[in-house]
Amino acid sequence: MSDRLRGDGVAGAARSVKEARPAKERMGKPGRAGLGAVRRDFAPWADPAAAPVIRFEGVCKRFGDAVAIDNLDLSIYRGEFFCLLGPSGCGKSTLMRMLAGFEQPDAGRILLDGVDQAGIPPHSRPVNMMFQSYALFPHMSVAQNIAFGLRQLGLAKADIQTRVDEMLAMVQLAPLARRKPHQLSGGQRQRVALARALARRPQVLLLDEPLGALDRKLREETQFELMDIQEELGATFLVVTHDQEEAMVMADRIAVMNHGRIAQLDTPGRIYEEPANRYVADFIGDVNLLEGVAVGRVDDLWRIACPATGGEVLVASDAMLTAGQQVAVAVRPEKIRIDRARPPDAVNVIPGEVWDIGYLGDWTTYVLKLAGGETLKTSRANVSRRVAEPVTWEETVFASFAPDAAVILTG
Amino acid sequence: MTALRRAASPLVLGGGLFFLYAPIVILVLWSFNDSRLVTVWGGFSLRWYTALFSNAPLMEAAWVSIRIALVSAALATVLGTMAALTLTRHGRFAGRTAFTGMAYAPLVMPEVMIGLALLLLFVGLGVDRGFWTVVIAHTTVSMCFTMVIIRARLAGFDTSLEEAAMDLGATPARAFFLVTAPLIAPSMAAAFLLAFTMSMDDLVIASFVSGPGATTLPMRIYSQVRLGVTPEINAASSVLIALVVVGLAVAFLLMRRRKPALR
Repeated sequence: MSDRLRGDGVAGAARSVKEARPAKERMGKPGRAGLGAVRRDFAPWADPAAAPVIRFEGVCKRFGDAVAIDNLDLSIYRGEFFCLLGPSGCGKSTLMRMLAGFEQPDAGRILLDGVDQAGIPPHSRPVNMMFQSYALFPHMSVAQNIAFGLRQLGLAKADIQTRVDEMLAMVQLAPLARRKPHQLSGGQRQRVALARALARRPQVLLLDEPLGALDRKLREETQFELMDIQEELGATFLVVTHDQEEAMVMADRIAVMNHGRIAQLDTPGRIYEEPANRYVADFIGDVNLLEGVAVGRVDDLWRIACPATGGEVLVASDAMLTAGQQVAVAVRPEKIRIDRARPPDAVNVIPGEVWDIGYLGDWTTYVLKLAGGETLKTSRANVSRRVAEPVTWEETVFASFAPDAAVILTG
Repeated sequence: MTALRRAASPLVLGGGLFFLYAPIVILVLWSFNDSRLVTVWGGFSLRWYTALFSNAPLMEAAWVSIRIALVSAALATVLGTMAALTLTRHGRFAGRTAFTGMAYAPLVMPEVMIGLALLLLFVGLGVDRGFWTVVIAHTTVSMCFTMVIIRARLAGFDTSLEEAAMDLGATPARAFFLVTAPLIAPSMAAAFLLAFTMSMDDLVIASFVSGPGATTLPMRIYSQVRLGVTPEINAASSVLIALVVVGLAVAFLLMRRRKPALR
């Protein structure tokens, strides 16, 4: 199925970018029971004996009347590539700044390796941060920027030099060591910031919108570089981002945040394929949310009466529902197929009129107008260059999806 | 109408500049006069400059002025930086509004008032007036100017630079000296020069709070002029003007200089 291929596609791209370096675990065993992309056999969160490296316990933070973080619990494990994902103002940056020590929680505890960080100033914490603006020191050269944190440790000059050279090699900036930040391109500055933050070999690296200022092409390349570096160092990376694609590609786990709370905490595959509620389904990717009422159960299928489709749809689900309960059926556009004739073997068939067509090159999206006036979004991969009779505007088509393509949402 | 305006505008500008600077130009020109009489041109000469440098009381006053200016400018720069940091970096604190108002007050306070107030204070405290009372007085006045200059710079300063320094293990003090101070150094230098020139040309306040042995250059010039204007005074004034102009020009250039990409 396409959802499973999605993950392989991502890993495949990683290999093509870094052909020279054989990717390790990421390419390794296929996931046991994962949905969507499973990069590697790495799931310390599922191990009850594993001790988290970062732990938020009942953390609250307000700014005046605004609640930034609302009684939040979260554990992040060693070696994890963790993403905090959410729209601006959802509290994700505040959470990171509290970990770095720039903000203090109003209530609750923040533990790093089991040590309560309350009262520990930023300069004494075993974390380093890569700032969104990069915050490179403009009066220092690239090498001096990278050496800054090492100088604070009081290392010997020769050791500092060695480590700086190492870092410069890692981010491939050795020839530019003597340049000043304003003489660098955006991508180069980003790498200096990364090298500077990693020079002290922090247990935990915090990255605030690390790719936000890069253009699309560079961003995609850098994503895989970041993943490689993280894997090589074995450090814990905590990334704050509002870009879901970035989070999906890089993270082992994603915490989707909304108004200071975690709306869902899971692997990218499960976040995408099994969203916990309407907010997550809507925030990650495109989705059709069909409001309806649970009618009854047939074997392992739930019958949901959806006014929008003019009838009932069948959804494979083990959700505990009661008849008459208000629910939403979530279907991703790429899981809905469209045909000119009514597909004889399909279960959930919804007739509609093509209202809008968006051609994206690799994909084409079709927006269908249903009998009740609602719209349904579907998309189709453009697998061949020429189509004899393409589906066109105002044509009546039949949308259909399999019972296991949809998810029932109660929240 | 436009033609008239076009013709008139250089005239108006010229008139304005003449009004502002002609007295100074005349003073400088007369300082090169060979004649002993102030109103009769006797040819070009540097004799009054030579005489100036052999005029012991005048030289002594100049030296006093320079020392006072250096010390008070240094103090004003340090205090102004501290005040600016407090106002830009520490958010809200009790008495912030009062502190801001008081820090800015000398900017608009008449000098005579400040001089008189300080005189009463020193007398009340039983402090002997002299070098240090002038230094304190000048620091008080110029501190608000240095604060304004440095505060403007800090306001446009990316605070994540300081956070980055602390995140990389620098204590707040080290973060200031390694990152903030080098980046606001041009403004601090500009503030220092401004404070220096303000101290150099102050007559009013110094007259109130100075004591025996601490006669500043403007005070000496003023007292000599009361006995009659000599070409020597013209020369002294020219030197003072040159010093102030250079100081202000450098301060202006430093303030205008923008670091490329401060972010």
